[in-house]
Amino acid sequence: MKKLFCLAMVVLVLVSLCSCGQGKSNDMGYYIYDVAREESLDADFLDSSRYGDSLYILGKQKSGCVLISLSLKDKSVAKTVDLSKDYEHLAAVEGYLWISEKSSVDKLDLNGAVLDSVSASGNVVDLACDGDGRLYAATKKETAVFSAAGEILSTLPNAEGYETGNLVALGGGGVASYASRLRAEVPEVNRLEGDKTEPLPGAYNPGQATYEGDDKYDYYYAKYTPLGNTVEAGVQICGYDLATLAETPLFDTAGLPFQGEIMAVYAQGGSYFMAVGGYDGKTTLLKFDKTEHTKKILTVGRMESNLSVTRTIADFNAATREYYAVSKNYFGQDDLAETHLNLDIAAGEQPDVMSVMLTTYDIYADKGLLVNMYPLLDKDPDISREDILPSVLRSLEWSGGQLYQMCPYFALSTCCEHESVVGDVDSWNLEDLYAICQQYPEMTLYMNQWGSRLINFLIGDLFSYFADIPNNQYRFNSPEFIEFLEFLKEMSDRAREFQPEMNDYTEGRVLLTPLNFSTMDDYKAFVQSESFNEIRVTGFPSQTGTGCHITAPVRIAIFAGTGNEEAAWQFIKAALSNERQMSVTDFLPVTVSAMESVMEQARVSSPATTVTKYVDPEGAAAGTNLETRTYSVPEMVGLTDDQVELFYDILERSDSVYQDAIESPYITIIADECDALFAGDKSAAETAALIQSKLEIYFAERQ
Amino acid sequence: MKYKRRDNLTGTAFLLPSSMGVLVFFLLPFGVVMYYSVVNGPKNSNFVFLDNYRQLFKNPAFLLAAKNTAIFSTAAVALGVVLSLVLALLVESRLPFRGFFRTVFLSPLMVPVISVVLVTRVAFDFNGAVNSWLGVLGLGGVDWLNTGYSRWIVMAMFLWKNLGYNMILFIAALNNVPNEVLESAQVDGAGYFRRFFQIKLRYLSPAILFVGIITLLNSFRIFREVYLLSGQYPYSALYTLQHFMNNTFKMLDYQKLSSAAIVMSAVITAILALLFWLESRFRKDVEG
Repeated sequence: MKKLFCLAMVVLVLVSLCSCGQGKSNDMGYYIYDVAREESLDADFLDSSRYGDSLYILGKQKSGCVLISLSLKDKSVAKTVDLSKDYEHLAAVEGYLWISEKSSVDKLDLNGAVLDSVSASGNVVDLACDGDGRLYAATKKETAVFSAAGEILSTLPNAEGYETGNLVALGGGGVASYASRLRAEVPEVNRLEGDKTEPLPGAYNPGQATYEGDDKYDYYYAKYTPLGNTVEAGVQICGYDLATLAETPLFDTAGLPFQGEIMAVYAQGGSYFMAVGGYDGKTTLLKFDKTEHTKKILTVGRMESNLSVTRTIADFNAATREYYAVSKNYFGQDDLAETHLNLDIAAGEQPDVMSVMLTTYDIYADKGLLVNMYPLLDKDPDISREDILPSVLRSLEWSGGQLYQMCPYFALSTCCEHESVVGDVDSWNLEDLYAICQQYPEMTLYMNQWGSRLINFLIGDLFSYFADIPNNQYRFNSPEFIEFLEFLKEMSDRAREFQPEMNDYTEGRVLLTPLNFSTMDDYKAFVQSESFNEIRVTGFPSQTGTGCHITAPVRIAIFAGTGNEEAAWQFIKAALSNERQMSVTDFLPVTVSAMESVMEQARVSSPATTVTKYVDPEGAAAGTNLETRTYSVPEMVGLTDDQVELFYDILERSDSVYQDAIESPYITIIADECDALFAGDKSAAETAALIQSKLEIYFAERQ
Repeated sequence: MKYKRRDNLTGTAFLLPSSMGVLVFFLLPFGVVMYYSVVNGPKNSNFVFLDNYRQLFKNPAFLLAAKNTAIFSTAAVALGVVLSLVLALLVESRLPFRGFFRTVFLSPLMVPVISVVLVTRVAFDFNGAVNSWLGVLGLGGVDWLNTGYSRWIVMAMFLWKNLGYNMILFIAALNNVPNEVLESAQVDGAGYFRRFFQIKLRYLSPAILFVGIITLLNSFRIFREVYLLSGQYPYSALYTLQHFMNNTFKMLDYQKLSSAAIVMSAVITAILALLFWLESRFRKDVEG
């Protein structure tokens, strides 16, 4: 017996060990549903409700309100009845309808004749009926409950300060009431049943549109996407079970040739109906039938909330039937985002694709967790290396020549100086910098920048001069680094005492001007400034590089071993598609053709114009808010051939991704230690010794 | 035979819940850590036997962390046991204000770690209180937390926080030393120190072992204070094994992390075995 027990324990341990590191099992996904029936209804959608197999849609035509009745069970002609009032909300019960106009709720027969009427205490914001035929009429402050006969049963007030937004009839009985407080992120959701009110945990995700439930699911909802709750956004429709708090993806609208807001979803047999409020004043009813084919899930892990990536997800979903890309958001998890990702990787649950901002893929690439995209790029018939800007590819490459990351857009980051100071040069190093600053004792490095900011500006380009990482040689306690710190201290002290004047730059009192060209307008403003002819674009002082960089705010990578590498590559291609690249507005596109197009546009002059922008957080009428701003955009003369050539020259000289302190912990270590130096508490030698000690540990950990 | 079989079944049934607990919460995680320590990466997981350990023992960061941890733990256990025993003896003696002192020594247990760290930071920062006082005396400031002093500042913080609890354990143990034995020794002419070393210390040996183990384990947890005080990369004297493990976890280097964890647990197990062996040898005289 004892032996058997021990044996069982050993087997358990072995089985568990064997399951370690087995990698991710592919998500099952869900069946593909095709549109099997489409009905266009000549009315703007106001509300809908379903009872049994009948669907009732309250619509608005030019002539007034109409009630459209149709069968979900079989394809029958929709019956339209004109209504006498401007009704707003609707709830169906067996044999009749409750329908509201302001504070009045009328009971109508199925032909639109008014049978009875009840009153709420204020304007009704929504109606719903529960499984027992009770009517719930919600005003902003409370929900009145009426019997089927129209007698008031109870009044259920909201919590103090909460206003009801909508009601949803739940599949398991009762009605969910969604009430929110002004500017509060999470509304209060309660289940109302007769005179009972109970909180409904897990029944709300911000931004999700919720639809009434049935015997399969307590309610249905359209999964949130920043692109809106529309068919063209390719949203996923899910069912929700309140008992288990489980969501079940059912189908999606990706790639459908329809446009409009998803107003309602109903299950009927094995099919689903969707009411779509079109932009043309019509309502479309779509029936989705199940096919034999399934869709797999492609998970896009996100440490950013960038709209371009969101649109790429929608593009990808619209273009493929085999996969549906879903966001797995790490960005809302503050400084624990990387920890959560690491835990997912350890559990074999890493996303297929990763998209990051302000962080690097270094540790993942070092561990062999990322897919080198060059082989995928080289064998792809639609796109090749020649289609992507060479400097972008070069900058994104790893030291071993692998392409582990791709950016959908970029900016150029470089530095310029007065030509009379630096001379006719295109690049310079630390010795040149020392010599110039010695020559001009009044000069400061950057306008109004001192202390550790100077480290952040300069160390990225000089780091490799002091650190030979592949050979584990670090010279942060060397005379050269101590000299560098002493130089920075002196320049910081100069900057603190500096009294800025209008012409500091032209008089050679400020040496370095960082440049960031996110758009061609930035570049135009630079080359068309008055002082442009007197300055040189030299890049940041650098010992080993050119000092010119690309800034890649968003970087996308593919995780190895997920089994969805080909689909993940299609996702990267969606980010590089001509349509997506041509729609890049706040940055520069990475494909050659899109860049050429942007450059062609930049050659054309644009006239002076006035732009009015307003920020309107409280929903006031446009232009009335105090935050409204109007500003003039001066005439932008088109770029000349020389200016275009200079741009491509800077682009060609860009050889690495700009690294700042947020992405590179070692810069933070150096900058932190330098605080005491700049405050005058420590000497350069003491600071250098501490930096050496800490960085030795930092890099030793990575050996 | 039938009864024996039934007894075995009953015993196994009673043993099963706790065995499952040990299996799920101790053995399985330990097995997983062992597994990660003998494979070569999160992606391919090829068996590499002791390669990760070889790499680990060549890694300067691990060696530094192990050295610092060993120094800190040795000093912490020695000082923690001796000082708390001295405090217990003082509190148990006929000193005035004994109750007051007992409360004073116990009060650090109630102070949250973050408050302790904050006070230490305010006191020992380069622009902190201690350097201000030194300035008043005409002495230059010292960067306490970035020099060799930092280890002893953290040691003082550790002892201040832990001595009270250890002292209570020793007081309880001192009360269990049989008075008749002590009185007989006194009648036979044994002095205070002889009574202490020959009688009390031998009766205290289980308590010393327990306090030693508790202090040892607590000393491994000093990472929390040091991390709050100096961050992910502290001055080299404060860089401990927990820093190494925390940082390798963030770097996704589970192989290094697991190997270090196995080495650390092996060392702790060896130390504990040694302590138990010493204690059993020491206690034989008392029982004998």
